[in-house]
Amino acid sequence: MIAKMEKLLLYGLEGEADSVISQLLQLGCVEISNPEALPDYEQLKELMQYKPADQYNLEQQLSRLWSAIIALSPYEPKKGLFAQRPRVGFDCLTDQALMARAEEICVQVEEALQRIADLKSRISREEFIGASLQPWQELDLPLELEETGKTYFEYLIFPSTADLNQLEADLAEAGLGALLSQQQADRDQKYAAVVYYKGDKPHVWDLIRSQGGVRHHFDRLQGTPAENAALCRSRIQGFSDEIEEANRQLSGLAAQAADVKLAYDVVKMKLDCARSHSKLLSTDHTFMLTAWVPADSRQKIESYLTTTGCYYQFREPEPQEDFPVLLKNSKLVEPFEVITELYALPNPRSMDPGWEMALFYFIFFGIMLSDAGYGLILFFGGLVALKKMDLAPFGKKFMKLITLGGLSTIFWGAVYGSWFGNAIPQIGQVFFGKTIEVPFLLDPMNDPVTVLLLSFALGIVHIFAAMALNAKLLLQRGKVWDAVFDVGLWYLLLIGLLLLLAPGNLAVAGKYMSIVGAIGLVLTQGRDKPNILQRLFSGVLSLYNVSGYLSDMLSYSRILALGLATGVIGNVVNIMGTLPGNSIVGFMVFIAVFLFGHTLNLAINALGAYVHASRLQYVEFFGKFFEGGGRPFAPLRANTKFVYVTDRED
Amino acid sequence: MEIGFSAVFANGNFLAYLGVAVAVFLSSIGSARGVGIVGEAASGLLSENPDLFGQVVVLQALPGTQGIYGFLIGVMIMLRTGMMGGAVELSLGSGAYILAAALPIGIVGLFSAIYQGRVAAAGISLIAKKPDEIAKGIVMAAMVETYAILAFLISMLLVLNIPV
Repeated sequence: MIAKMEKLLLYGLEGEADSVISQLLQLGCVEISNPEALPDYEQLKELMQYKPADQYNLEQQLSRLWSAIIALSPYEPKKGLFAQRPRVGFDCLTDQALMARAEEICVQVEEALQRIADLKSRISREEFIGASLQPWQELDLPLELEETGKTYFEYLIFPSTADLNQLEADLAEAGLGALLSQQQADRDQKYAAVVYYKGDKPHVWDLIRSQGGVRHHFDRLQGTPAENAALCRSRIQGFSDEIEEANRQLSGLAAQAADVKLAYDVVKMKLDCARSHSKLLSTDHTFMLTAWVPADSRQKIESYLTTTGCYYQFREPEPQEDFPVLLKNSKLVEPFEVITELYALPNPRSMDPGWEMALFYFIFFGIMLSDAGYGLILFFGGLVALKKMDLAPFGKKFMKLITLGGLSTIFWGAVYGSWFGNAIPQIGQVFFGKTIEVPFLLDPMNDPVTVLLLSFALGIVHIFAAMALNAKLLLQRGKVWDAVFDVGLWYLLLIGLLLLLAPGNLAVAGKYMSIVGAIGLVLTQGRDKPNILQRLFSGVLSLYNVSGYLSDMLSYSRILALGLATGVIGNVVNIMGTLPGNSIVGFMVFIAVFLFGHTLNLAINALGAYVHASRLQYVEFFGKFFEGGGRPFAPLRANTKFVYVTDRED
Repeated sequence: MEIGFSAVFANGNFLAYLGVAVAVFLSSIGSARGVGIVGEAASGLLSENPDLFGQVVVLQALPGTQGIYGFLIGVMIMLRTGMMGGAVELSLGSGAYILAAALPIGIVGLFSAIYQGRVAAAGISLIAKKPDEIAKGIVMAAMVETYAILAFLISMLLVLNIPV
C-alpha cells in the first residue's frame, strides 16, 4: 500500500526555527519540502526570503572529521561480523565537550599526518643523495676537495655511449699528466673522477667534452662518499624512527576514534538540519515551513507542535500535487517491498501491489530453489543475521526476505522430497547399506510433465491476478468500461481457450466463451481510433496479443527448470562425494565434497531463484498494471553512519 | 584388426558420448565467453568504484548458468545411460537420439550466454552511472536467459524419455 501523505504548513518565530527542525529530526517522520509548490508562492516570495544557513562550515568540519576517521581506521581493532553500533541519545547534538574533544583529536591527527608526510619527503631526499653518491663509493677522497696547490680534482658523468678507455688513452697520448679513475657504470651513465694539473685545464676538458663528459658538483657535502652514504643511511633510519613514533601516536589516538565517529554523525545531523533550514521562507521575525507527513504520523507531530508556539495546519495533497511515496505494508509483506523498490516506486496516484506480489514471490522463490536443506540454511542463517547483525533498514528487509524465502524453500523442498539433493538415500545406501525412502509429493526428475503443468498453472494464476489488479486500478479511476473491455473480455477469451483443453461440456463452453471474447475484443480494442476501418483493424490486430499471453505462460517453465537444476546438481554432488565408497577416507572425502558442492549449489541457485522470481514479477506481473515514477519519501531523521541515535530504552 | 569409419562413428555409444560432449562444451564455451565479457566491463568500473563489487558480481554470474544447464544435461545423459557405471551398450538409434537431445542446450547455450554477457556488460555501464538501477540491468539480462531455459527444458525432457 502507498501510505497517505498530508502536507504540513507551519509558521513560527524565527528564534524557534532551529529547535523546531532539530525536534523534527528526532521525530524522524517529516520530509521538509520546497515551498515552491505552494499555490501562492509568488506572493510569499515578495514578503519572505530564504535565509542562508551555515552549511559551508559544517561541510568543512565533516570532511575534516572524515579524514581523521580514515587516518585512524588502520589502527582500530577489526570489527566482528556481529558488531553492533553504539547507541547514543539525542543529547549528543548539543554536547559541546564532545565536539571539543573531537576537534582536539583532529588537530593531533592532522599534525601527525603532516609530520609523516614531511618525514617521508625528507627520506626520499636522503635516498636521492645516497643514490647519487653510489657510483663514487670506492673513492676515499673527501667530497669538498676540489683542488690542491697544483691540481684540480673533479667528478665526471659520461653518457653510456662514452668510451672511457679511449679517453684515458687520449689523455696519455696528449702527454697530459692527468689521471682518470673510472668508477661504476649503470644503464644510462658512466661515472669517473679526474685529477690534472691546473695549467692543462682547457686541453683536458677538450678531450673530456669530446666523450660527452660533464662535471658533477656535490653541494655542501663533506667527507668521503662512503662516509656521506653512511650518514644518509643513519638519517633515514632516524626519520623512519620518527615516522614509527608518529604512527604510534596515531595508534594511541585510535582509542579515541569513537569520539570522532560520534562527532562525525553529530555534524552530519546538523548538516541535514541546516539543509532543511535552507528550505524555510523567513521574514525578520518569522519563518514558514512546508513538509510532507505520513497521515499516521500526524498525531506524533501534532503532540509535539502543540508544545511550541507555532501555528500549523495539515491538509490533503492537491489533485495535481505529487507527494513522496512511502510503502506501508504489514510485517509479513514488508520484506517484499525490497523487490518493488528495486524495480521502481509506484506513482503516488497508482497502487503498490503489496501482498499480491509478496505471496507470488514467496511461492516462486521457494519452488525455484526447492531444496529443504538449503531452505533450512537460509531460514536459520537469516534469523541469526537478523538477531546478531547490525543491519541498515534495507539490509534488514533483505535479510527478512531471505528468511521468508527459506521458509518457502523448506516447504517446496519437502514437496519434492529433496534434502540436500538425494543426500539421505545416498548416504544410507553407501555408508549404511540401507535403502531409505524420503517421502515426497512430486518428483520433478521422474515426472517433469506434472511439475511443468503445475508451473504453467501457477503462471496462469499469476497473470490473471495481474489483470485483476489492472482492472482494480481502472475501476478506482472510474473507468468501468475500460475494465470490462480491456480486462473482462481478455478473461473471457483466455479462460475460454483454456477450457478448450478440458473434456466434455466444458470444452463446448470454452468454445463459445472464446468466440464471444474474441468478437468482443475485435469490436472494442480499436475504440480510440477515428474511423470504422481503423477500429476494426486495431481490433483484429489486438487478437495477436494471444501470443503474448502464451509466451508469458511459457516463461513460467523456468520454475521447473530452476527447480531441476538445484536438484540435479545436488544429486551430482552427493554421487561424486560417495564415489570413494564406504571407508574412513571415503567418508572424509564425502564430507569435503558435500560441504563445498552444496555451498556452491546453494549460492548459484539462490541467486538464480532471486533473479528469476524477480523477473517473473517485473516482466509478467508488473508489466500488466504497474505505473512507476514515484519519488521516495526521505524524511529528516538521524541518518547516521557510526552510531545508532535514539532516546528510546530498548 | 581393421577398424572401419562406420564402426567408430556410426556407433550408438560414440554418438551418446558425443551428445554429452556437445551439451557440455558448447554451453560452457558460451558461458565462459559471456562471463568473460562481463568481467572485462566490470573491472573497469571497479577500478573507479570498488564498493559496487557486490552488485557487479551478480551481473557477472548471470551468463554462467548456460554452462550449468549444459553440464546438467551431460550428467543426466550419463546417469540415464549408465555411463557412470562404465559399460554402455547403446544401439545406433539410441545414440543418435541422445546426440539430438543434447543439441538444443549446446547450441542455444553457446549463443545465448554470449548475448546475455553483452547485455549484462551493458548493465555494468548502467550501474556505473546509476548504481540504484541494478534491478533493471539484471532483468534485461534475465530476458535473454529465458531462451536458454526453454532449450534446457527441451533437452531435459528428451533425455528423461530416452528409449534405452
